[in-house]
Amino acid sequence: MLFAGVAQGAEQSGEGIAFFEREVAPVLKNRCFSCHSHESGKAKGGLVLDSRSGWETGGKSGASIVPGDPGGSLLIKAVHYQDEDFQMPPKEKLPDAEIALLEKWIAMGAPDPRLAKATAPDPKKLWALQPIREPAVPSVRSTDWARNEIDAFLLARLEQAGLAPAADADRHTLLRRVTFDLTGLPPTPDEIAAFLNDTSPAAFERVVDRLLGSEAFGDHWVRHWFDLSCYADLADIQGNVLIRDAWRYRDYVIAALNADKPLDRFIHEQIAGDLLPAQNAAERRELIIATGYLAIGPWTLQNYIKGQLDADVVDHQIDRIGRTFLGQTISCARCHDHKFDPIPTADYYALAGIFHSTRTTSYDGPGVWSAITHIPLPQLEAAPGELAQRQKALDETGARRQILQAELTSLILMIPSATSANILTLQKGIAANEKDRIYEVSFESAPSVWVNAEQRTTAVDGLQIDILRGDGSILAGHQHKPGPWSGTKDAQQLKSAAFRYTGDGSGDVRLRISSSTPGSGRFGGALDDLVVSAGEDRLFADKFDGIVPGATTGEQADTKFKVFSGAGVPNWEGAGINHSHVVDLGGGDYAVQFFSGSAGSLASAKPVSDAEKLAHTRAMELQKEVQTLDSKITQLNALNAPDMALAVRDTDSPTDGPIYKRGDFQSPGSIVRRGFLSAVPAATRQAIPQGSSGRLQLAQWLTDPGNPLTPRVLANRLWHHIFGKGLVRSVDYFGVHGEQPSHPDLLDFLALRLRGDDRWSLKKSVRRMVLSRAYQMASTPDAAATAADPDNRLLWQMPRRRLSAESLRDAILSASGQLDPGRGGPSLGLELPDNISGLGGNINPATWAGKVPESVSRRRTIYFPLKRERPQGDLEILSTFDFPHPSEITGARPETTVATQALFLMNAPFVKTQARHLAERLAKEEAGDERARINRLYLLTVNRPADAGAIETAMTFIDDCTRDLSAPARENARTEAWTQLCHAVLGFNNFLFRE
Amino acid sequence: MKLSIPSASHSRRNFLRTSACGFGSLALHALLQQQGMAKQAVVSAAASPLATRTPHFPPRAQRVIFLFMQGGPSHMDLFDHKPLLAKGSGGVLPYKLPGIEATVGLENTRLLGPVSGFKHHGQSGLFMSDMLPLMGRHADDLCILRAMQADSPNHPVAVRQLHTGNLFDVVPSMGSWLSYGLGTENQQLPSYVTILPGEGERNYSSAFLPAIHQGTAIQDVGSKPGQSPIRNLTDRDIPGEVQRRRLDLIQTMNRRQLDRLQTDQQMEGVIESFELAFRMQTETPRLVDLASESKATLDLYGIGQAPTDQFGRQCLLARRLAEAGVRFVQVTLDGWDHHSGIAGGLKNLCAQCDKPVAGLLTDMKSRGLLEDTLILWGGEFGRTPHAQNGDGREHNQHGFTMWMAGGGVKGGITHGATDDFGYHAVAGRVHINDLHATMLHLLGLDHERLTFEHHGRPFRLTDVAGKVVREIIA
Repeated sequence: MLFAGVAQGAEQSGEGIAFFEREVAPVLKNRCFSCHSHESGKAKGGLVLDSRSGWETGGKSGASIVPGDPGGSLLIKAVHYQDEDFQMPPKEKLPDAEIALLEKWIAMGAPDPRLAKATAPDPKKLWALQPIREPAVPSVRSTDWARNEIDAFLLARLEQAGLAPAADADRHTLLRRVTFDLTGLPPTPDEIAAFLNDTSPAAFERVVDRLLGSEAFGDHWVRHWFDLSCYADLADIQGNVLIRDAWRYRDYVIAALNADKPLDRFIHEQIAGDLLPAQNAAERRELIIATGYLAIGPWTLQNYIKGQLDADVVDHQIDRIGRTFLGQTISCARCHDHKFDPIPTADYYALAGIFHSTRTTSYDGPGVWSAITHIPLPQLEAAPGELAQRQKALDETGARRQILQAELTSLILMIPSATSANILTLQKGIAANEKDRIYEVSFESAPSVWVNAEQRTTAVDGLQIDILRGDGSILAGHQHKPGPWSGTKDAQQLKSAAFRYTGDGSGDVRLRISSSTPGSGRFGGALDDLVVSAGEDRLFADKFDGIVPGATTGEQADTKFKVFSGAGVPNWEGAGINHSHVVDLGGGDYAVQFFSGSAGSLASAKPVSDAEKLAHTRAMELQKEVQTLDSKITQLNALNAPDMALAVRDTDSPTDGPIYKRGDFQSPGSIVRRGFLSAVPAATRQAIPQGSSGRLQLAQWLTDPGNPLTPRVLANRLWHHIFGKGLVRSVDYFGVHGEQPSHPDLLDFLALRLRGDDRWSLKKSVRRMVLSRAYQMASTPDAAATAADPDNRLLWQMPRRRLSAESLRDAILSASGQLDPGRGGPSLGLELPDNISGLGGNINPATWAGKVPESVSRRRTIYFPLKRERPQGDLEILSTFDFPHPSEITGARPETTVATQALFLMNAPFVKTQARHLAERLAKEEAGDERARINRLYLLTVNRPADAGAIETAMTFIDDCTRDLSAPARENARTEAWTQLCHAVLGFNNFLFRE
Repeated sequence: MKLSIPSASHSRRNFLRTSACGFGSLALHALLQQQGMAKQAVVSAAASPLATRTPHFPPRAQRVIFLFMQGGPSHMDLFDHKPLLAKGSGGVLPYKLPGIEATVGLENTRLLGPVSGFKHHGQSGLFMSDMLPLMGRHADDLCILRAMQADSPNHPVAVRQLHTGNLFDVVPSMGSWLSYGLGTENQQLPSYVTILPGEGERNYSSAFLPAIHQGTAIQDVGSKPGQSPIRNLTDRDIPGEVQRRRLDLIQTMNRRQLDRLQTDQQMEGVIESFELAFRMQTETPRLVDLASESKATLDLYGIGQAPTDQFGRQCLLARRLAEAGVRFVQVTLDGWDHHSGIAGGLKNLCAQCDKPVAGLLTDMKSRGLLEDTLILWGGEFGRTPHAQNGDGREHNQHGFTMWMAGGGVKGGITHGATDDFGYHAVAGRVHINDLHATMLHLLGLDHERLTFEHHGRPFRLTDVAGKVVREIIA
């Protein structure tokens, strides 16, 4: 039966309905349903045609049918192909006969008996949403096999299927397996020996506890977390926009894992750490850094449509939390109610309201770039006196710079070809220089900008105001920084400032004003309302309002004030490019602004006279000195500046937000109250307090005992990492179209233990899994089991797995003896010269130049800088071996086998170099016996001794490489042959895979 | 209905494919079912993930060569002549610029007339720039799309949209989709090759599709001696026989392990991957070596001549790869981003581009390859009718030109139009999604049916948009 509905409305005659069912319904079904029905899962343009209400409401373009008026019905217009952009069906015009049928039907008043279908799937049916119940541990026939409950659950199913678990793995295999799984590293020869020599029944347990307690545990498991949370050390889609502080979040996660921070607390801190109470500065820092979880992500910071950027960031945050903790694709509900799962669009926007009330990126302009939110961290206690000492150094350096800069400016002015910076000097001296009398120069100033937004005042620019004696020497100088141009309409807002100088009685003085950064190509600032006074006496005043504007040059960027160059400024002599720059503040009020002139003008200046040459030499010296002082000031300021973290915070006014119709942020609909998924009714919903985003309540809801999803999804993730595949193999998706759990009771058992007995301890859960007998099975073939259960869903053997990409790199470095044990801290090497480009003076953000510092280049992969793109260059090995894209949420990595991997293992410089180091290491550690050396090679790579056959094969290889050579050549060739042997072993399956 | 996983799912085919949560096999099965040949194709697909697959309907083209003109070539100076723009040069732009587009250096928005003369070419009389005289000789084969539209004026974003259909997410590129949908004709070579792609690995990424559909980058076309054409393809420091001996050792030990396991498809896969790698190592340099080409052919592409040598090599290599059965070949020519000095800049770029592209068209045609090869020429967007920095042009995604040739499209036609100044597409608009839909259609694929299940929903190259431009299909 095609239509489930019943006739509605008495006006629909039986005849009309019969006509509809017989003639019209087949046309709609055959021609329209593929894009406009619930059956197809598509509602293009928002339109569905499988119910009466579908066409009554219509789509984007409004109601599609006006009963009784075919000519006024959009549907009829579309099928006639009248408008080039509105033709339906898009592929082919309907036959005229069918169009005529539709017209006739609409002319009849469009009788249509179909009722809207219920769309939301019934959450009662989705297994993952059912409450978790303590399952009974099944009894099994072979009672001597099981060591813990996990084994009982698995064995019961195997016995049902008539299968038996594989034999126990040998001790080398087991040690290699557990060491890689828990730490991502191979066991060392010493660790192998210790385990073999420990014959007590608790030997394996001791190994497990040692590994769980090692720092390498966090270094490895952090990647499982980052595969879900899209970590990278750099930002933006081109992958190299500088964000300095991502590493703090990386180190936070590693420390949390190593400390076995309970997972519920771990979740609360990362989603809402800033909203949790802290005992002290150290804890406050940690809680702020934790929210890097939300701040770090694949944001398209240069998206110039900022509403879109915000909506996309929020969407990714919802998607991330939805998949990571709930196994739900909530993002699907951004544009429409979820097609399969019980997630209405309203739920999506209830969550969106929480994240729209959270500041993740911000845009200050000018240019198109947004920035990720950085939050200053509270200072840890500095050593007593340290701060004061630093301030003293800063003051002294600043004072020295003032003096030098004044002299420098003076010298530059003596060389006409040296600068194109604007300078205004008073034409006549003023009587403001009585010996020992204190004078005040007050003025108003603001940052400034030209028509071109790049020529603006930045934080390093400022105004230089000098008091010149009659002979041109400097009595006093002052530098004033009005701050960076904000790029807003009010940026040219003038603020009062003043400084003082003491007279020396050498006669009248003149004022000289210029930019303090001549040659930078930017602006030093704008100045107005200048007054020189001593006590009550006003000795000079200028409001700069008698200005004679020059040629109109254009509108100031952002403010749209008129700006002029070449203006006449009464009382003052102008120098520099176009003499004087002026901004018209309106109503006859002008301010003068100071362009810094073009870059490099002093170095390229051509002094003419001897005096000019002398001045030039001295000025070059001074410039260098000033630059040195500048970098010193920058360094001191950097020490003074608080540490920053990439983190989020609540917006100033957190609030509920609207549904975006069809996901379009420009089409806001009705407001939805902030909240959580309605499909999880049992979870307690804490009220979101006034003035708060609701992140804390969201975090609490995720881990609430009434929420069955989070513990199930997380327990399944742990299982996936230990046993290779999840009990639910679609680890990120527990929805209607996801996979069913292979062992539902076992999953619930694990989920309950995680949340209950283990109090969310990751290490306890992992420990229980690896201490099961199932984990210790061998990876052995079994034809009967393969036939019965080809995918090993019942876990009759331990699956063989390739080492993860980063484990492969770390294992190669470990074998070659090159692995640097260093951990933590920044990894971008920003202290290296030229490793940052585009700092200051640019509307684009600074970028990283890609120099990996020596200090991290041989560390474990987690400490290597990760760009936000498929890793290349030094980290090419990662992309080659299925490392996920840093912008993708990847709970289960693919494991591919392609020829590029073989090419990498055969020819990549990294493998070649490490093979040589490995051969050198072996020659040193086993200098004598070559057979013992082969054994050690095996211990270092495949982590077991070489058997006789392997030793013979390797010896034959070495001999073959050197056989035809003369005696002297043979020695060198033998060394090289060892490198080749080591290189080959790195391509052995026994190395690349763990059993 | 929920599809069951094919029983062969534990086979090598299964792990050769990237499959995040087991959806890969479902999607493949669904794809094959749509083709109405599930059983048969599963068997052949088991042989190789790149085995050729039957398209949805008879294709017009077997393969694609995409000539990517990176930076945004100026359409109104090359293919879309605007008399009113010429007349109004120096005058004021009769549009109000959207706020965001009045960016740096655009304070003086005066019209800049075409910087090139135009002539009619061929029987069709297509009106093309004097800067592209040799391409003009192929006018009767060109299908010029004058009303292209994209959604971003920002290079990396627009480039990504052109390659993947998506502005922001990491999704597969069009070459990967074709490789996934059709497989490839030559199992010794990658299905998707991009020649000197420059930055932006994401643009030839397979994203969530199986890794085997990733574009393989050719990094050298024989102009830089000593450089390996494909990353890690060869090792020049180690003599060939030593490498073979080392490989034999690996294979011996891996086979020995396999014998112990009796049968293990995954371990067999590794052994085969080493053999294929060794064959690629031997075959690819031969394919990339242009020495076997005649002097006449080299001349045809301008190889050995100053401005055209590099791009000529790229185009000739594209022909060789297409001829050898590679499904999707991309050739990139960067430098079309003329913010200033466009008259001179464009002339330089056209001098690099004209002869190799014309040579490629001639060569493909004389070998009978043009008929079933779709050639696509164009950049991520066009440029503005008004001047930037006095003598350049800003980015313009609202209307620009690309062209197609061969592969089942009509020759000697133009489709669509921009307004009188070449700013906005006003008729016959072809959005990037439409371009992708049309390209897939020409290769026999329905863009709405070529899907891949990822994170619980089907993904397409055209996402939820795209309309086949039927008017241009011959």
